[in-house]
Amino acid sequence: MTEHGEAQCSTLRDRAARLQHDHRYDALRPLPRRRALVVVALGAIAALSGTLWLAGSAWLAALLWLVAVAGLVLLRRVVRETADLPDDALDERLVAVRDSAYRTAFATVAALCVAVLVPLWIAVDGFDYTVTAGNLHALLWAVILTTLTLPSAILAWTERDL
Amino acid sequence: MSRNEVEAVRQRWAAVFDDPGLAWARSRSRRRALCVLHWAVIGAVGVAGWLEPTLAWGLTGVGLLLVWFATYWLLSLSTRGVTEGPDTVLDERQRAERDHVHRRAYRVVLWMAMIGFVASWAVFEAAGVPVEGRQIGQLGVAALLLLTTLPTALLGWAPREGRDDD
Repeated sequence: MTEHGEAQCSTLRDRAARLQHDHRYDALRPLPRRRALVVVALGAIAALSGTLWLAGSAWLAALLWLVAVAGLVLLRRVVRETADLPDDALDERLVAVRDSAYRTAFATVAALCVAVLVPLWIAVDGFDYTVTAGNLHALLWAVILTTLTLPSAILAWTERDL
Repeated sequence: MSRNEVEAVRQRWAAVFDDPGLAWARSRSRRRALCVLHWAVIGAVGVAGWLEPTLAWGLTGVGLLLVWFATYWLLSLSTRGVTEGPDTVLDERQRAERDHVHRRAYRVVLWMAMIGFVASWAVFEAAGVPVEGRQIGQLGVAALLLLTTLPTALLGWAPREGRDDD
């Protein structure tokens, strides 16, 4: 490994170590509160997608977007950024826990895409449902925000000790 | 599940996925060739659907789907079913490999969604191209075909240290 690479790894490990001893978000770490946070964050994403799909109020969409992003940031902090740190910054157990969360997240995103795209395809092809650019953007926003949030949400929902 | 049942599942799994007769499909170059063919078929579904939305319903569509499934099945066999295997039939190294490749696939999905968002905004908002529902539907089908087999294809593409047959 180059000198620069080693320095980068060391910085990442230092960051991971700091996160392990970060007590600023302890109030949100008991399991019921973490799960409530997951429900709020994913609920905000669902409501935002619905609002954009139906071309609802721009103010409501902006508010829901803020709640969803705040939920994403808090979830990442509550799980000590475990889902986002690279292998070098985590021990073997945490790498296994993180990768397992990603497998669950992948299956969930794939199932959600099937659940949304197949009925939409049938509606468009069989019943001449009109899709607008706003509908497309609502779908893509939902996929982007859900994909960013889900791994940390799964860790927050399932991990006993954080 | 009793120990005997677990053992029976393992043996059935090994009979399908560890078949020495499939050694020809396990070399890195052949796995990569299968990946290229697999992704090319998905690309063809998307392009055919975009250019002529009704085409994908006809013989062309069925033919492409058959090739898609055949290449997916061969990729699955050539990677010993690692991405689909339940915990009971995989060893610790294979489970780690399976979960790790799902993480990589997840990142690919995130990038695809971001690129899709920018492209959709550029085409439909900035350039003002009218949205044709059937074309979007066919792109959705191509996205689903890619998504459902992505971990297996990525594992087929990746070099496998000490396990490549060439």
